[in-house]
Amino acid sequence: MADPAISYDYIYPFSSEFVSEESGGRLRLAASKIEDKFPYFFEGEILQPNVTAQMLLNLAKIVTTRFYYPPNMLRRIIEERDPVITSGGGFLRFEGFSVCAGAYARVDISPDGYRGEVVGKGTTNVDFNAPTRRELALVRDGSRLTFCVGEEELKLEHEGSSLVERKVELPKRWIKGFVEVQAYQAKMKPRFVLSGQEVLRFLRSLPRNVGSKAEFYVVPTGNGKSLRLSQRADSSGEAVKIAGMKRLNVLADLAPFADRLEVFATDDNQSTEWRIESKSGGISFVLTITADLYRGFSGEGQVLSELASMDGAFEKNLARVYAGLNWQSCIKADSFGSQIGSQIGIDQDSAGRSLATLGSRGLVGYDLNQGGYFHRELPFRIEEVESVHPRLIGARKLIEKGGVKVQGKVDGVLRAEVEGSGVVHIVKIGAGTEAVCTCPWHSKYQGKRGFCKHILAVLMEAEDGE
Amino acid sequence: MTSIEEKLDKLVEEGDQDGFRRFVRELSSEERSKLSKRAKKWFKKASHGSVGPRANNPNSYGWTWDMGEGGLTVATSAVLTICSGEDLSSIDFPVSVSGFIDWDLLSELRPSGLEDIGDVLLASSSNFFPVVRKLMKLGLCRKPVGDAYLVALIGSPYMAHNPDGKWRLLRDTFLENPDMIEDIYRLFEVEGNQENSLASVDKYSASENNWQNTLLYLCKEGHLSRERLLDESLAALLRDFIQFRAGWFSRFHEALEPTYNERKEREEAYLKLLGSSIPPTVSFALKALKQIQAKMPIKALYLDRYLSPALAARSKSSAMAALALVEKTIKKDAEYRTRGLILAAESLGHETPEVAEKVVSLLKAYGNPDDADLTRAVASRLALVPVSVQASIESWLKAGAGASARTEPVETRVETSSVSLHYEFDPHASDGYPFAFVSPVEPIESIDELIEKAAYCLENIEDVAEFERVLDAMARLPVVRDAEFKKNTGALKKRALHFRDANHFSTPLFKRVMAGGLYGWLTEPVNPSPYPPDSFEFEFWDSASDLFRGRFEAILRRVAEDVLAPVLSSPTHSQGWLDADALRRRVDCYRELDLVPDDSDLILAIFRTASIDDFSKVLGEWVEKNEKVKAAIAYLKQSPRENLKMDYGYLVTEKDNYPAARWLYFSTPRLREVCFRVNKGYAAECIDWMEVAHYRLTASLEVLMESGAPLGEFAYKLMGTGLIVAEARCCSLARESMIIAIEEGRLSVPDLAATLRAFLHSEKTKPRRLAESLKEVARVSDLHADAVCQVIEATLNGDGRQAPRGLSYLLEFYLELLSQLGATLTSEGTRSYLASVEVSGKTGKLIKRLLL
Repeated sequence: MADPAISYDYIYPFSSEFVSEESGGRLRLAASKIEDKFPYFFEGEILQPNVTAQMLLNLAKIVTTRFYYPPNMLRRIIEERDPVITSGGGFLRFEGFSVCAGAYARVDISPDGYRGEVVGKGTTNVDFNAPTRRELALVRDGSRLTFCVGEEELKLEHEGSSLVERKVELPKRWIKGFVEVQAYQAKMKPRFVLSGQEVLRFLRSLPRNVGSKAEFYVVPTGNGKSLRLSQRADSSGEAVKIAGMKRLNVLADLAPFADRLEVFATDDNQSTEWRIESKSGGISFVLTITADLYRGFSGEGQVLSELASMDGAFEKNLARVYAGLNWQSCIKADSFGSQIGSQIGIDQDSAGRSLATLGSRGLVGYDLNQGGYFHRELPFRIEEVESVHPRLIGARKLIEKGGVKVQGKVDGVLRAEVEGSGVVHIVKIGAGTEAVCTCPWHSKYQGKRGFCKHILAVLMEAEDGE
Repeated sequence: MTSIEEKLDKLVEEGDQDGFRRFVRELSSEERSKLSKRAKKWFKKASHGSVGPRANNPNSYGWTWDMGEGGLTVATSAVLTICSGEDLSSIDFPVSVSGFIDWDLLSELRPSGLEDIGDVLLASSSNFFPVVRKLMKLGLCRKPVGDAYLVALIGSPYMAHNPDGKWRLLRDTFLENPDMIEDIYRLFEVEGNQENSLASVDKYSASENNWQNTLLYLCKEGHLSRERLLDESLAALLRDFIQFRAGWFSRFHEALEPTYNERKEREEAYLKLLGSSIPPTVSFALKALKQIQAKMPIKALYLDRYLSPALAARSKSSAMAALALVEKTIKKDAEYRTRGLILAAESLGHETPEVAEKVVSLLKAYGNPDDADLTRAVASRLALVPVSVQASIESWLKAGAGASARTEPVETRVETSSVSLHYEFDPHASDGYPFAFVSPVEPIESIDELIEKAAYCLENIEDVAEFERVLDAMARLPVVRDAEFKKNTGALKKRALHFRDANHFSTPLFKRVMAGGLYGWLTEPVNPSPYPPDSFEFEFWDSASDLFRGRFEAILRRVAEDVLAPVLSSPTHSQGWLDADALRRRVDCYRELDLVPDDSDLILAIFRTASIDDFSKVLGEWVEKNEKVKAAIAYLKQSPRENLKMDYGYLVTEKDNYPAARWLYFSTPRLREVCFRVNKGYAAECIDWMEVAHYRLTASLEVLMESGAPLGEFAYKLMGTGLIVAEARCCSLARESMIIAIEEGRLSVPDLAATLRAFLHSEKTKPRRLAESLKEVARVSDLHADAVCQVIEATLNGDGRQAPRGLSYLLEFYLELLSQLGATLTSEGTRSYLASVEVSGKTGKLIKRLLL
């Protein structure tokens, strides 16, 4: 089945370009129009031209790569999707997903990574066309790299630029990935840190051409100073499980520039994050991957329960928290709750939950290095994405046609019968988030990829009933 | 419907191209725009076809168009002459329509919609290139702007024919079309794709018609600028195309045979290539720089700016070549010595000791140990230096004044163990096996749990332990098959039926057997024969499905008769083990109920039960009267070496059927050694060729990882072979099994070394891979390092006159390991082996060092 897509227009004031100059080069990135304006985010000099160029190219590589081909996919279809940039709190963040949505990459340039001025705040797409990428690959250290994202209107008028418009069909899975990945990131914990030569050694030791189903564990070795691939999880529970090694191989290109590698993972190893920091600091590359190659973030369903369990009071809170966002580069749930939360009259827990929900709507991202959310408003019509989440739609349809029969609680377990295709699915929801269903989705993933539509429908129906 | 629409429909349906010509000439622009949608619809229909009997000869089969060739000709003409550019961009053009274009009509009408058709067609397929070129020549479309045009141009040698059908030389195409000359320079900007790249086309083209020779010819004849080709080929290499494709540009650059001056002018461009992520590109640049440097050293400023990545290159030869550049410059430029050596110190962390040794020789020759900056740079990297080189660096550092103060930070240096942890094989390591090492299986106790787990197993067939629990519960637990049960299991039953009846392309036999069994159990009344008669036709027979099916049908027969009894062979412990007491209790239960177990169940129980040697005492008449069971017992009693005939095919699986192999190997723990014997052969097949489809090998290596299990002859053979197989996961599993065996004291060094030695001196020798694997094992702890050291010593034994190819990899690692352990070569066997090896060069030097 073809992946549903939404039509989206990239409207750029000019084509991004890399202009060679005597002293180095100038990277001029065009930012797509938002709210009838062409954003002007940044003007300055990048302090580590080579590593910045390599990281941006790696991001571009991921955005145009399909790591996983479903068995019945005969034709290679790769449309270029332009990365998303967020400017705020002095940070420039470039984000994107692989075509299969199983790998998320982000390049963070912090104030230590540039000399210049962050002029504007906001989120949009940046044009990262093939000629620009080709020229950017020529950048090496030792030459000066000036960099601008967007341009002030006066300059544009002066140049008489003509608009560059590109209509694309954005697969919904690509957009949904943005709202899912932050849900995983917020749950991740640090596992390992490598530094110096060990980063190079480890990344270069990763095997290439490994079968897509092959699973490995990353475990500490040599008194914990290094990492190795293993076939068993160690007893400490620290081992990080990875499959789809080719996604991790992308990091090998950055190994020579890396000074530090941090590995994060969720407790159940359903998603892992690999963060590379450059030798001189100020710029980092983040790669977040799903547990299996065939799994895209879009289908992980981590935000479904948040989306399904909205009520009026919570919506009000959410609006207040949203009003407190101002393109901060780091919003920690606890400090946000106690500082801004007290001003707008909500407690820390509500603030934390609200931030998670805003993440599920694409209004904040998560930065594991800083341990907090960052304000980022995806330029896509996220409400449209939300409304077409297949499991959520399915759940709503089930409720609409009266297909959910909640039978009440027995020993604290809520039991319901939900209509399936010619069969009845039995849903049981216990305390906390424990829920089971007799459908194939739940049987296969056991709740690791979010609830199935039947459980969501019961949750929604039960909430309405209350 | 208007008359023009009807007219168009009629013309297409009748395939009347002459009529269409007359019709389209008379259409106004409004009428054309009105017909656009209709033309697209007809084209979509007409461009569809299938293989079937030909219209002119029903006895002959071939491709036929749904609306015939006439219909397709009219429909193609209709879209090309009627549709606007925007409409055309949304059409999916199959390449085969190329032969149905009415060129005369297009030339006459010159439709404006065709202006951008070049981009549209080439985005669909590169094979449209001749069509697009013809459209361009006729002035019907402009030159496509996208990379697709260039990629198609790259593949054009495949498509170029003269009217006589012979291949057309690529050079003639350019000579006859001067407008295409400029396109050639743009070819250096595109990487191409799997089908069309300069590298792939040249690989499969005749030399007189490949891109390299064509470009060299055009350059020689003055049609292309030599300067530009030299520059563009270097720029292409900077773009980090994948290795295979990048290789073409470096070969082409060299084929131009740049003069010294031409290279010198491009010195900085070569230096920039040192940062490439493609190792051969780095190597190519270093070779060019070496030639430049022959007359004049590279400028110090350039070295500082560009050399670092090459010094950190993984390839030893690249790092050594980069150090040679530094050496040449510091020889000539005394002022640069300190800076140059600080730069060279970046190579100290290289994993090959030879590189660090080269740095040491530079330090000794040109470095001032009193220079604070230099010694600081060297001392800060000491911890990363291969241990065998650390002593010489320390001695250089100590040669300077105030050395003690500077070398203090070397606390991070790798601790040498001074053989504090010595590995010894523990003959009692497997005492109490298996039950001291495995955990008891918790049986399923409720129907709700059973249904939940059965549904899980159906979707996750690789979890063999869970399915055994399900099977056991199905046989034991009483079920009230009422409406409630029917409702609760409806979804599972539907799913089971779906998989049972799936075809063998989408669903492996093993899964269909499981699904069928489940379906039979869920059916009311229970169906003891749930498999349709033709279920297993044309299937590769495997013993997993056979054993599984036999047990399933036996359970279903009992349940259908309301007889509940445990499955005789259900494992009581992890790793598939069955406790002998449990088996005896089950046998008693069967006798009490007057039940006779199925052959499959008996055979599996025999292959699973630990600590019973005389099964006839336990199973009594079930053995005496059953030849199959007798054979299984006899099979078990044989040593794996004797089991040459797989008479009953107990361990037969397809090579790519991982779930079946996994279930089978984990269900027959007493056949571990047989499993290893069967699979060591598969492993040997995977040494030279990366056979990722050998999933049964993966399953057997998983069994090899079992904790506490004693390792027999074939376990060592499988482990040793696994250490050098090409497939990463299999190799990783073999390494892990060695790591676990060392941890538990189960690894017999001589036994593993026997396999490694046999490989080392065979055609399948892979010393580099072996060294890599052993390095990974040794990294785990000092105990592992010591065990690996012993394994290498025991491997390098016997008659060594014929030195294996690549022995230096193993020796280099061995030397490093000895240094790390603070040990020297003391094994007499190894000394005499190495002394007997007649070899010179690097291997010879290493042997000399080891024998010192």
